[in-house]
Amino acid sequence: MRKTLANQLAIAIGIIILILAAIYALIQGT
Amino acid sequence: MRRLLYSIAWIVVYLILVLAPLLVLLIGQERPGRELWREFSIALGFVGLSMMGLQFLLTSRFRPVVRPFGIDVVYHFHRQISIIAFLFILAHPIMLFAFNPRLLSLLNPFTAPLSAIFGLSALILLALVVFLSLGRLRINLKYEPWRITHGLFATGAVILAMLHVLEVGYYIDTPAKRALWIVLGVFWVGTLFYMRILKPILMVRRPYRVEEVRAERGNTHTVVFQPEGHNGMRFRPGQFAWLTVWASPFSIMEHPFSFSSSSLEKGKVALSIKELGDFTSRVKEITPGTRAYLDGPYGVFSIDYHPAPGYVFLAGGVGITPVMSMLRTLADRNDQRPVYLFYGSKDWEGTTFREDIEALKTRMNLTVFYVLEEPTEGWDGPVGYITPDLLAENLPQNRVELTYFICGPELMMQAVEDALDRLGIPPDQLTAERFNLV
Repeated sequence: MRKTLANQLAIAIGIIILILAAIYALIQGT
Repeated sequence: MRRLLYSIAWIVVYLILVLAPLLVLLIGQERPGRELWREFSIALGFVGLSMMGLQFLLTSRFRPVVRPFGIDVVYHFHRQISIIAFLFILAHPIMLFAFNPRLLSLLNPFTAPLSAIFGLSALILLALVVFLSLGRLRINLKYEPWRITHGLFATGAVILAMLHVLEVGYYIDTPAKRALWIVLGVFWVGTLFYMRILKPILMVRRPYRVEEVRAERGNTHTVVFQPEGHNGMRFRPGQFAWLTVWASPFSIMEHPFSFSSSSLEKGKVALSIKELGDFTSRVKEITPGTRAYLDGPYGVFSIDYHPAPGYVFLAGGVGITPVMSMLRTLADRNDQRPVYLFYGSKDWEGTTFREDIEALKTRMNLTVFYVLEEPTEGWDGPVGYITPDLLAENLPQNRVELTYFICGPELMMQAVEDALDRLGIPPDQLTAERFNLV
């Protein structure tokens, strides 16, 4: 159960970081 | 509620630290932006590097970070997030090459600039770190050499990646950016300093002496430690500690084991260790008087963190160790709440602590079901494994109100978790302890 919680937390944080990195690229990129 | 708030706060801090390089790049931007894909690739490289740097903090067992989540969640998160960070870092060169195939020439070590050599070396080391961690058991790599290479390769990868950023130079051209990298570098080195220097110094100042090594049933040994010149540690029943013996705390020859003693015992603490690998097979050779060091306590697998009207312990093999600590503590506290123990073992001869468990029955409201895989003749108890039927027949009517603790081999734990789910036990009343942190 707790292993699943850790996995889900990692995936959620990974997705948030990916989205924010993409937003950075959209702002910065040409 | 407070734990939840602290957890959320740490997640926010983690995100800020990971995204710090991108924020500084945006704030201190003086150059015109480049192509979208190139910026995205670079963003992934930066966040991947930050995530890898933060991995040192996650495994430093820094108490304020560990407390709200529990160390098992922190370690599993460390493992999972490293795969994600590696994928981000891997995507960084792949996207650059896809965007501009001419950059593939950077892969030629004879002609590539230093920046590319640093970057590629960091990537190879990271790939090795991830491969050796995920495949350690499959390739039969022992814990000790894995632990040493893991630390060295990971540190090397982060240093090489930092050198890659510095050598490329494009993103360190303003004082704000340089300051960021200095701060991040100091932070990462500081974490390493805490883990490898400060913490060992604190441990050296709080040594223990082995008082007794007691053979138990089932190839298990209980090692009793007496604090030397200090008051020892206060732990919650069910928690564990990292043990260093025959080595200094500056070495990383430490292994995690559960306490088996009552948390009410003054000063003394006992760990019970089953012979399963290199180190654990040598535990019986520890002689009384040997100096040892304990780093702990850790873990949230404890009745103290889960108040309930009664408890059900489901243990398999050496998984009985933290359960013993909880049973002994409940008895010492004269706690008369109902407790059920379902204890799976290979055979009766090797059923660790069975005499102690029988003795505890007279001091507390304890009902025990032994389940044997290989019963001897005349055994009239349950045979095989802990099954849903066995649980359904023997758990009380108010079973959904009880809290369940599961500890044992992975397959047994999975089966028991499924069985409890089928019996309608709410998942938040289940607490599982997995010994395979790494």
